[in-house]
Amino acid sequence: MLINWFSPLPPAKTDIAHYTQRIMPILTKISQVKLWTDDSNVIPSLQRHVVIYNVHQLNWRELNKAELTFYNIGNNPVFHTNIWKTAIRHPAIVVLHDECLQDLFGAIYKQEVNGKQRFLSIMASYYGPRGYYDAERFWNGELETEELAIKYPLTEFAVENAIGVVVHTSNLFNKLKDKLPVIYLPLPYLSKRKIKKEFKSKKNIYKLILFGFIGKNRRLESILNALATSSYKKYLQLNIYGEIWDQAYQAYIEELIKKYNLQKQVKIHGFVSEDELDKAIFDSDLALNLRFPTMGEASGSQLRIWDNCLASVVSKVGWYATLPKECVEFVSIENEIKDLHRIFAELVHNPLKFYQKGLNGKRYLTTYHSPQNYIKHLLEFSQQVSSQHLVCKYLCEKTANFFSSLSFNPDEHYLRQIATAIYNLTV
Amino acid sequence: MKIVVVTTHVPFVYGGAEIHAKQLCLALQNYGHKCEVVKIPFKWYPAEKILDHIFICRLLDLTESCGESIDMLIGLKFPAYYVKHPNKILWILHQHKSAYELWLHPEYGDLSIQPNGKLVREAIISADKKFIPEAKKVFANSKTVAERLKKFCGLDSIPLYHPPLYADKFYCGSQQGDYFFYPSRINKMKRQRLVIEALRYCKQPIKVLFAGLPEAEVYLKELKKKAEELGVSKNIKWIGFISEEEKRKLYADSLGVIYVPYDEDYGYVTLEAMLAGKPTITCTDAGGPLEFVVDGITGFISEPTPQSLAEKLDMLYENKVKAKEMGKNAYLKYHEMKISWNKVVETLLK
Repeated sequence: MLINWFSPLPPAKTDIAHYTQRIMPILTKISQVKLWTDDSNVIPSLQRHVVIYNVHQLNWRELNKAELTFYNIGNNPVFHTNIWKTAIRHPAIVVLHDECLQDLFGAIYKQEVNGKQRFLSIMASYYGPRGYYDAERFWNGELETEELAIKYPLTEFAVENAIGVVVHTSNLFNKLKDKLPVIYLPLPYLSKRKIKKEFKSKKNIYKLILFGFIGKNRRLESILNALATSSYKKYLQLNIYGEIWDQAYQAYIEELIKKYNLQKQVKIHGFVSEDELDKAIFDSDLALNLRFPTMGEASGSQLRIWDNCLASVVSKVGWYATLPKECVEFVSIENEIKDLHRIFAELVHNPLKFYQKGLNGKRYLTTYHSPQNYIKHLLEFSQQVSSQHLVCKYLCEKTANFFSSLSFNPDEHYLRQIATAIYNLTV
Repeated sequence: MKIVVVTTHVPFVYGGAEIHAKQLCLALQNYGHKCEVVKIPFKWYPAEKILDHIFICRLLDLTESCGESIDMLIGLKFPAYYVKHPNKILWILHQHKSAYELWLHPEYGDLSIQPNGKLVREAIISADKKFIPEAKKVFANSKTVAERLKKFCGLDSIPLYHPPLYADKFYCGSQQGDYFFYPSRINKMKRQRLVIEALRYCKQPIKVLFAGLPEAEVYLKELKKKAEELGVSKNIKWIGFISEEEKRKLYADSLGVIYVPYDEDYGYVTLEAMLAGKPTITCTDAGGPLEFVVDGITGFISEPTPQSLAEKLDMLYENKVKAKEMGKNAYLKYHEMKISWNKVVETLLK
């Protein structure tokens, strides 16, 4: 079987690239895979599968040769604009990684001629007059993307032309299940860590870790505040790995660290090798994996934390709120700093509890996030799903447009006949 | 009975399918039935237009006309054969080829080069599987068409041959000419180009007469240019549109007939050649013609390569006695097969 797989690829700075990298060894064992990318910078291990494409000159025959095509779509316009533009022309399966996609569509339509009108029309179509009004405010710079994203996520618009959708959170599944064929599959993770973590009852210092692509939604300001004001500050050390969003934000964080007098407690390591990061996670006592606002994503970072038998703190929102309490600690959005204080205190007084949560997380990972199961169910779903609902949609829209061009309204009986004809044709 | 023969028609294109519908209608009338050909215009691009046409055909009502029942509907072509009728018979000339045997074909597959081609293809296959079995009986134009229907849709049908137009008027001339005759629409799938390329490899002074109109003038210009480049223009005569009488004369006086289309559904040319007592050279991937040409007996079957085709042309040219004998065999074979409109009508209406 030949599969087309559209996705950002490593070294692209997105977890979706890592997700693709994780499942490729299993997928390529059972099928031939073409990795379609518009960026020629791809790690050597994936090079032999790569097809570089130009979204304006796609080879449709090449695409049509595959039995299955998958589009990985997320919120970042840098990685997903061309994938989405291909998906709307060549319907196939969408693997939807985020629920809120305003960043993606805001960027797409700001680039287009008549983009504003098109964007406003989409917002009106999905969210009515309120959506139109707020979209206009956004376009005029009166509203931030984050404000728009939570109220008007444009999830359904992102998958409007999909034959079927694969999601990684139950929230997203419940949102889409009545609208088109959708399957919920826990995000896959190939467990690498074989060594069991040993418990040390008494420690002088408990290591906290925060890693990945660090934007404002990682709640670093709250974390630094909580650390600085915690009674257990002297027992805690925070190591930050990865890339802070931009230089201005990094400078701001460094200023905060100075302001809170946390120079001894906080160390920014930047980017390190994957092995080094895994070791750092494994050697830590607690991971801080807060997210607010969330774009509705499932977190590959969370799976990595579990793989390294590490306890973690998550925000009680989105996908994170659905995680089992045996495997994570929650902080509420409303009482972040207070909750963090409580957790820091518990860590120092009862480290065994967190050790156990780390092991529970590992067990949960291997049970529910197996890549083999993921691929199996992904392919089963994709091979069974029918594209007829898109034909139905096309004919309904065409018929509706036709009737709207008439100067009279056809009677209900006749409309019912048309609807029945469309139904019989496509179901 | 009142019978409608429903087919699709591409405006300004007239060929075998149009002749087929007309002849069927006449045959039914000869049997005392009232018959009309209902032609539904068809456009297949962009791909979503096909969905429109499928839907339109499902909406059409041919169960009665002016308050009187239409007793039977005979559907011939996609998507006309989707029209509903309680007494529907299908005699399928071919399904939508771009969705089936021509899907992904690098030269002839026009659906697979469209972004939503796959979606439309799946809709066509789904509709064929769903609606063809509505018919009381399903016949196919040839074994080739029946085999495709079985292969792609799992549906059974009975091959039913019919005579070409004016079958009783073909004859074999008293003089055997020195040219090969290729009467057909000029397009890529009829592969006149293959013949032009073959001429370059011929050892004998082979002459080919191409009769018929091009579907696109620009393509004919391309073929002529190709012939020039290969230095074989002098071996070719493009005679364009000819009357039925002229066509029969050119058959009659030819040395043999070339007919090398790609995966043809039926192929009137083969039958016309047989009626004219002439051997046919065809190719291993020609489809319908292979049901009638017996290699070495009624003609030759060549590989679809210029070199192989050239070899067969030379063989026939070098042995004109053998060519005459093959022509006689072809004529006898046609008559052994008992292809007639009477048989068609009796089979359809049984």
